[in-house]
Amino acid sequence: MELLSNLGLGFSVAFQPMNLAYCFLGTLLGTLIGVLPGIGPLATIAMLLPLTFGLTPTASLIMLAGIFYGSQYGGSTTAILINLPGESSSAVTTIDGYQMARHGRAGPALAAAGLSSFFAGTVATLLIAIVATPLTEIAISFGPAEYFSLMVVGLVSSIALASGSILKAICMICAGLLLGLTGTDIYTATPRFTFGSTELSDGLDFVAIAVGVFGVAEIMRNLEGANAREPIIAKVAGLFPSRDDLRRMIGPSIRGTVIGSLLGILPGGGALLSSFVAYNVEKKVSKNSAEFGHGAIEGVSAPEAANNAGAQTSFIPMLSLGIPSNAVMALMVGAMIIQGITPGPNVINNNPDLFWGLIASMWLGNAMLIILNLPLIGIWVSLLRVPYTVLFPAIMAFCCIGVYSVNNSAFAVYEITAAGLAGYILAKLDCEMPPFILGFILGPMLEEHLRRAMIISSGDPTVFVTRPISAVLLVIAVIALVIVSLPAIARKREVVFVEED
Amino acid sequence: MESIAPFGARKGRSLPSLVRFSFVALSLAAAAPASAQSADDYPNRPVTIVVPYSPGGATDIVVRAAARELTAMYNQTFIVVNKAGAAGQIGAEFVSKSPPDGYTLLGYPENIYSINPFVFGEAANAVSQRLVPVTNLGGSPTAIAINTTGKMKDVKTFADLIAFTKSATVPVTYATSGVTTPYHLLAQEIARTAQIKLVHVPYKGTSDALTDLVGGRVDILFGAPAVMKPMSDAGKVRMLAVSSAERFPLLPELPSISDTLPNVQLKNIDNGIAAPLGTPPAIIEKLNKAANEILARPEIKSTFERNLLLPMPGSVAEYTKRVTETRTERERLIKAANIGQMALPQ
Repeated sequence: MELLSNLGLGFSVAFQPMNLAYCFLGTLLGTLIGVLPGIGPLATIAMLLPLTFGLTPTASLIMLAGIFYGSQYGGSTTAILINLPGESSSAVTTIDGYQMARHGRAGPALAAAGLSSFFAGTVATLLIAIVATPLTEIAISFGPAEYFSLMVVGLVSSIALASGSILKAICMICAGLLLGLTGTDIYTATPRFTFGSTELSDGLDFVAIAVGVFGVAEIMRNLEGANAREPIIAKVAGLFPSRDDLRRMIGPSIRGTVIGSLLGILPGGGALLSSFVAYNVEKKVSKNSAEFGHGAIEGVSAPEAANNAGAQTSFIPMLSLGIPSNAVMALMVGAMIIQGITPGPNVINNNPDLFWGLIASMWLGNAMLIILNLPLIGIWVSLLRVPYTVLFPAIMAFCCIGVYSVNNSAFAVYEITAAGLAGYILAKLDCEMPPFILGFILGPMLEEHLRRAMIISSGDPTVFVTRPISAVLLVIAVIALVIVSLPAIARKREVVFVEED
Repeated sequence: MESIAPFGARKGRSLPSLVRFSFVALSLAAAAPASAQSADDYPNRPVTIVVPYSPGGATDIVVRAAARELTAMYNQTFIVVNKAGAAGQIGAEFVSKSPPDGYTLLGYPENIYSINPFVFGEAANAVSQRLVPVTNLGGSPTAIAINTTGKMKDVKTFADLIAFTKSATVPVTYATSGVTTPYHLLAQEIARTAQIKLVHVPYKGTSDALTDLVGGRVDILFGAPAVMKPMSDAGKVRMLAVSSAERFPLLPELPSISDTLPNVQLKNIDNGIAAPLGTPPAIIEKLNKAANEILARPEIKSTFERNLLLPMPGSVAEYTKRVTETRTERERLIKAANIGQMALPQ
């Protein structure tokens, strides 16, 4: 019953009017920046950090946390409506979400994203409260060998992400891998693919690339046909999901939540990776798998549940160990230090009101988000009626402002331009972007952990199979590879691809 | 009709002359603050301080704390802008090319002057020569921590660590936040002097490295004391020593490595403020005095000390001497470690 008294303490803190107000402010801001493509939680929190100096530590962390998980809600909105992920973790939601919108089902898609996120948020909050400490041990037991094997699973399953030609999907993964390796080799400090440019020495900006290949390329495609938009508007029917839709959301939401909760704990882009993995898993296990890529509601539910669960469980290592699992959490650590709290294993004992207050506020924040988001669906859908001549320049401007603000760098604007052009050309050649993006993310991590594992093991490659977690992951990768390359499935995929044309 | 015709409707007369006039007027207006500039009315508009690293790091923490106090002191905004990348070179290069008027300053991590010129080549050296030190803010030595559970559970002191490494049958590994960081240089110096073999495992940041230290996958961590202190307090890692010649006042219980290895030390990693070359000395002096004043304030001291950063007051001349000494030391270590030039961003 210690849990109940802890949660009681948490809610008593979270329900204080000041904390409630900052929770609302954070989630509202998060929703807004989530909707705006390019502007992410990292840049927003960095900009708002100085403004939190005057607040109490609890209020400031509650607000900053609200921005982070709020942005995961908002990120799906533009992904569904205009095929432009508002946040990188919503990239995979574009696949089926946008198809649903094209079939006039933007409302149910948005509702599915919101409801799944709320479900995942509730479960993840409970999870943090119950098992924060034991789960932390998982994060600690993940070393370079385990990460390497996890990345292999991710890469193999990314082939399944493609709905078209496997050959093209592999080409796109490789292109992503290579571009992802741009920058400075962390083991020798040798520059790679930088052409002597200082701006490229830390690699290509992920946000700029993702917004470019998905968003800008999509806008250019839409501009080709002047009337491309009309059918969407004509068919907007029913804002809320039907009983059948709701039933189909249950399984994916649960599976997405489990995947997101587990991957979110791991350092390095947990929420992002989890949305891809959840989508792939759903595509394999769903009995409606033929619908995937054509507007399956499962393809919206699962990744949205996963990214929200992942965003919330990524607080676990930060709160219980002081170890940030991503850049946003690193900023939260900074915010705690500024407030005079030393992040680390002792926070839960020294500052129980902060620890439990933050957890309780996450649930309240999720409740606020669903209340905020469901009535807004009508407004978002009506965005589709805005004429392209007004909408496109506005989106482009927001994209550019967003990528610029990440590092106050004009170079990022050039990157988004180049990525947009390349994405457009590749789309014309029927090459798909999700495998490319996954290669881009996983490639550098794969290399980093492979080389680190080899250095630590003095060059002994058996380390990947002698460590149990790593071995299990590699077995999963082999199974996935077999499933993907089975001839029957490969044929079926080709048929699906042909039908699409 | 003619009277209501829009400006310039009649070709070649009123508009061009008007435009020309307004350009002259505008440029005069723009030039006015620059020409009328003196240290007395500085700052009469917002000042930008570029931090060449991401938010949340040591440079960012000291600069933001200082900017907050400077804003209150002058009733003029000091804006902190992060321009991270290329080990600080992107932000440093931006400031080095900014007008030397005191309105664009650089949060100045020591490696811009003391390390980058020797590993990134002539372009980085040129940038470092176009910046002048204004004031030091805060710094800390490098700390050494080990895992407490694995094969090194009996290692209690830095001398034990050297002895253990000498007799070890499997390679002893150490983690740092990257190649050519001061931490890497220090580890190499220790290995050379004590004649031991240490295997380097670079990470993207000290907190990643700390995870692997706690998990027992690497044996030693060289890094900023602020990062490892919480884990040390929780008994998950053991801090053995600091790199400065004397004990670090904020961690007085830790001995210096030079107690064990005489003459081996690494100067503190300082974070200060620099200005573009050519900034009026009167403005630099004024900023230095202001910084010294705020460094004495209790709230600044406590912000710094919570982050295990020692406030470093001092005159411009003292800071200049300090950065020069640090550069000399790091240059010697880089040459001795035979790291040479690897990355050459132009």
